Amino acid sequence: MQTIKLQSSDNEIFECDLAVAKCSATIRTMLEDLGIDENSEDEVVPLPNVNSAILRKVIQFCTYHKDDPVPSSTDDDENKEKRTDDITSWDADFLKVDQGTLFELILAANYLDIRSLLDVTCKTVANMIKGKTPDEIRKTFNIKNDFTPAEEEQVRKENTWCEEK
Amino acid sequence: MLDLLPKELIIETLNLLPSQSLIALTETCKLFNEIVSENSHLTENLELHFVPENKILTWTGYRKYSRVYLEGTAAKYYREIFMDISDNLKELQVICLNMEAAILKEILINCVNLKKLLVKDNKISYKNEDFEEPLPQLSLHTLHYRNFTLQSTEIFKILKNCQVREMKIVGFSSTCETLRKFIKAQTDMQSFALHDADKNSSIFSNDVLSSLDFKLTKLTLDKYSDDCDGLENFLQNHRSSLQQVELNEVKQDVLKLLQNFPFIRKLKIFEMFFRKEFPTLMNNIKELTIGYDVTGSWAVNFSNLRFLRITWIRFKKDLIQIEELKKLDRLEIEFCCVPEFSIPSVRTLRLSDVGFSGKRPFQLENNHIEDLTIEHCSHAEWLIEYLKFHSNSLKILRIKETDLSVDCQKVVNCSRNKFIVQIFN
Repeated sequence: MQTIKLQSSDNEIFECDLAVAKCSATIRTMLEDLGIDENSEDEVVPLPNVNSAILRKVIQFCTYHKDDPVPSSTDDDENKEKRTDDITSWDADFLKVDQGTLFELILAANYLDIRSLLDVTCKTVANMIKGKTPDEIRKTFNIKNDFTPAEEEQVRKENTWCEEK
Repeated sequence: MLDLLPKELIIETLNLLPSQSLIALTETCKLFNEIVSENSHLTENLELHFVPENKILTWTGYRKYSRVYLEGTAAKYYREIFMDISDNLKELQVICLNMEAAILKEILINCVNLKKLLVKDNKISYKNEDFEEPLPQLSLHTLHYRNFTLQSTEIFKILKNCQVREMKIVGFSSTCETLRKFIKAQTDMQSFALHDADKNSSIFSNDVLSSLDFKLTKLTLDKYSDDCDGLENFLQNHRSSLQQVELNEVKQDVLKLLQNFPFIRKLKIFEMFFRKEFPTLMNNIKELTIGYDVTGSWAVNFSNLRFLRITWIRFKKDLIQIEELKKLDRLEIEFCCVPEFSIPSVRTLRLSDVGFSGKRPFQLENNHIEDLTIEHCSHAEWLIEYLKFHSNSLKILRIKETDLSVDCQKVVNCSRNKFIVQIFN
């Protein structure tokens, strides 16, 4: 099986299947555009935006999902439902990580252009927001309330009608 | 933490949230307040359920909505809201409202881009002058109408100049002359659904509907119990265009009327109470959904089926005929108990809410299943044996909330076959 070497920001080298690495559209483009020879043993693809801990997770995700069918893009955008409850058990387990790791995975998925990882990580974050009050959201994500009391009062007043339970 | 992500990634996440959560976010901090307010697409759906009258809508976000759903909300604020959004509005659902026709007219008159209108269970009060000037021409993709009290279809006088592509009427009483005229004036209607028509409403027996300018491709009749004479004329008008038919609780004779319609490919039949004999051969049907209290041997009447969905049927042994459907490619069985017949060899099989009591639904050897979905099933012990020894053709397996998920996972982990597995619990 053909393999490829990936280098993380902290200079760790990961050797993984070419098919796995190609889950990343960014790596695919790099290989095509930059003419990095896939057969060369010494060639290393540098990924300066991803550290070794995150890259290890990303490779784990791509190894599991490398044969997944590409979702059809023919679906009408308007008919697309905002579903966030369709995360598979494996993905849910995979994403049982601390918030820092979760957000780094989002950044890595975005940088490496791995649609399926970006989707499932964003869904996980959305699920952390759903059904919570503003206060609970602040606590969950450690967000600082930077409204002045007057501003907060104003925002609240504008929103009152939707908060009726 | 969340606020450390780049804006475009935050928006990506917020795209997945319902309006209630987005509104909560606007109160957390300035950044989120700004992001939600600046990205109008996030808030294009407005759903108001029973908002009390004393809550005045002041949130400026409503100006951007393109889809508005109003249920039981006091009518007097509408005018103000719709003044601002009418240009954007693509979809309007008005449900359980007590309102004056004049207000509805005022709302609709500016909604030049409206594509979908749903009017359900409202108490609308009309004055004579409301009908003097009907709304100017409005070209709708979808119009759903359900009247709560069956008292009036006056709204169709106001919508007189409206052209509709898909129409759904729930509740039709014999006094609905206005509605008949409305249907008669249509030129482009492709899909028509009639639900819960009053007994003896004889909608189709009226001469008005026997010759029409439009050609339907899709027809739904739900609880239609009138005589078939008028219906026959109506159907003949669409003989060369009908492709999809859905029948629920209608006389079996209706199927006879459809017997030689050359282009019907999709058929759904529910609650038709077939006992021993199925009335017609329907060999042109490629996709069939059949359900609710059907027994007898219907399968052989559909010899060219590619897709079959069976729902809510108590299996009897005579259903063994399903095996005769040699061209079947996709089979879905849901809400059924212990199939005692053998499932034919198909490529795609979905079993949902089926109780197996440990029995095998099909010959495990020599199956050709490529895509298998098992949802909410119990006592599916056969699945383990299948996965262990007979899953050679399998390409994708989905297991959802089935009690053997853990065991299946173990088997799959040891399996030498390469197929995609998605397990949801």
